[in-house]
Amino acid sequence: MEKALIAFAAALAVGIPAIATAIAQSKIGSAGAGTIAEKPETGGTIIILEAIPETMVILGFVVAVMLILQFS
Amino acid sequence: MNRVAVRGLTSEKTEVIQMLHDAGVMHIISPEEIPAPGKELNDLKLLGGKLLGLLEALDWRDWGSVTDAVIEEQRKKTPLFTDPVIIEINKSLDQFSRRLTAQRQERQRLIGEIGSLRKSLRVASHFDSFCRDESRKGKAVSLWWIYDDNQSDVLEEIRKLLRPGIRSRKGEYFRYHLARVEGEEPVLSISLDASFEEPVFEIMKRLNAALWKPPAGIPRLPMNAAITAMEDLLEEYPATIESLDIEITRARSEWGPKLAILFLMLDEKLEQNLAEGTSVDKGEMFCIEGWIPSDELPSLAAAMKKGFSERVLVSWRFPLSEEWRNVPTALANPPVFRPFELFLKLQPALRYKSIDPTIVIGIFFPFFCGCMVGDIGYGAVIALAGFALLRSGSKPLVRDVGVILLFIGAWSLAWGAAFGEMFGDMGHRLFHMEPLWVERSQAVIPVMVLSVAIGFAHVCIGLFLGLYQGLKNRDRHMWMERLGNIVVLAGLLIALITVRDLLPDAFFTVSVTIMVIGLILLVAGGGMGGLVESFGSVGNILSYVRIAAIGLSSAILAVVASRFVDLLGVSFLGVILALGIHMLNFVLAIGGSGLHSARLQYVEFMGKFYTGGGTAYRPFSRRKERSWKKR
Repeated sequence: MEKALIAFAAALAVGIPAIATAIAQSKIGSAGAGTIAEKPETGGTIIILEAIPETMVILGFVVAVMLILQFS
Repeated sequence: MNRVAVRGLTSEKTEVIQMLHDAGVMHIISPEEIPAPGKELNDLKLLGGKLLGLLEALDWRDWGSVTDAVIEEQRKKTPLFTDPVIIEINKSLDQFSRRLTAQRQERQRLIGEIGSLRKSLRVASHFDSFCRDESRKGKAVSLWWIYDDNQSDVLEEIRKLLRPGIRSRKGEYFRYHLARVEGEEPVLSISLDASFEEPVFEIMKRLNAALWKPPAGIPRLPMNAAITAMEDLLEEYPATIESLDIEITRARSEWGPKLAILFLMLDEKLEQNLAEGTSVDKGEMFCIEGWIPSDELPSLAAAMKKGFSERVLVSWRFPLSEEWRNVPTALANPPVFRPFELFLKLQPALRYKSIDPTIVIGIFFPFFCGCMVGDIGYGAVIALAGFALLRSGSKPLVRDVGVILLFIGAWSLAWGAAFGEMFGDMGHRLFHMEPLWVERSQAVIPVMVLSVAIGFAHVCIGLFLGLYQGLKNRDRHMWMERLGNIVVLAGLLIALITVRDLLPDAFFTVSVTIMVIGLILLVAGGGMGGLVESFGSVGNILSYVRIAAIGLSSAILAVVASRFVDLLGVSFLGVILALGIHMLNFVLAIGGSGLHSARLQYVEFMGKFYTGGGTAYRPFSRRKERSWKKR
């Protein structure tokens, strides 16, 4: 039971930020595509903006790994 | 970069500008007030538009065949673009355009005719026997397009008309045939005595029916004659279209390159004229100013001296500090790192006297990508792809991407050996390959620690570059903030090492003292925003964990692919599934590692020192890229 809870917590640690990242990226992506169509020179900035929300899921992943390694 | 001024006689201005154009090294400065374009310039622009329009009409796109040598050869034969020459060219182009337009219109017309002939032929063939039988009986036969929803109304109206006649006269006659030919609107063929033809026509018009007619020039009846005529035309038209196509193709291959060369020469002339417009004329003298890279200056001065002796004066000076914002920036990197300048092209142009991070990007970008991919098999494929692009790429961009892929492939091979991965655990299974360092799917923490350590080093390099830039530009805000960040990070590092019992406890106090000093510097440099910046730097370093995270997911996916062979055996399905997942993993590895590595360069690294807002160096030169059509 304890292991299941740890696994569930780890899954939440990755899953919730993943959903948040997806929502953020979808909005940034659609706006970014429009921006690049208008001004191709903004490509670099858009890549940055698109990749910024992924930090959430990366850090969520780190937390999940920590949870599993520390408590299992 | 040097500020250069070229002064000469107004009578020789065109020749001087032409030589500058040939040299292709001077970034010309436009005066604040550019004179309105004159008639000559407008004529050249119109002629250029006309040439592009003709190339478009000819559907000619082979810009690659127009080499510099071909243009040079043609330049010797072509007279200067004087007014009479432009008028003559315009006349010839108009004639050519008219001929081409007529041919294209004729072709379009014939294609349209073929469509309508085929449609008519289908109707005629369907009703042929009915019409022939009825005509043989001496009846008036006609064909009508009618609407779906009024078929019954039409027939009812005709019957009403004929009913009294049937009662009173013997031999009244009405026959019809209704059909829908290949999904078109229904066609109604009616046959009756000639005396009823006129009232029936009235009814049909009232009920919005349209009389079916074959295309122009084809007899309506008898139907078999119409069919024969239509079949003859259907044989004749494609042959005419083919001959027109041959003529248009011949015109394309013969005139396309000539028009393209003319356009390119005209474009060069236009550029020269625009450059002439930027010069400042004073009596018999003119002066044109610009920027030139220091190493190009001697060759330009020598060329001018050789061409115009003492009649042209080339003077130069270093840029003044107040001009720095306007000085164009030319990147100068060792050839091996030059492809990585691509990363700066996606950013606002670097400012003059700013630090060019291309070399650092060239070192760290493929290093990070390789660490994320971390597989000998994938690395070899990436390197091969890079090699192929490098060999086959005709465009500089493709070659640059090829070089970058080669770097990534090399680092992937190195990291693959460190992690002992070749297409996941295939190397271990087949060749008993062992990792030189750790197996990352098993040892997550060491890889994460390494990622953060690399991140620490990378962010610190960025901060040091920012510090250097701040000191160089005497930007107190910048250098104090960057120095404060470095000191805080150093304090944090010492504290961390002390907590891990690698240093005596007394060092903890030292680390706290260092951090306080760092925070003071941060506040002094950037106020409260500086404090936030320090948290940002810690976040930036933690962000490098993504190298381990993405690498781990890639490694696990590769192992999953191999497991399919375990589960399904060395069967067709097992191998296909394994290959499919490896393919997906490979694409994700390339895309993910490239994107995230680029982000680490742009945000975590370049964010510490990069200041855009400069002017890119655009020398006044003959264009090397044949991309006029897209402009």
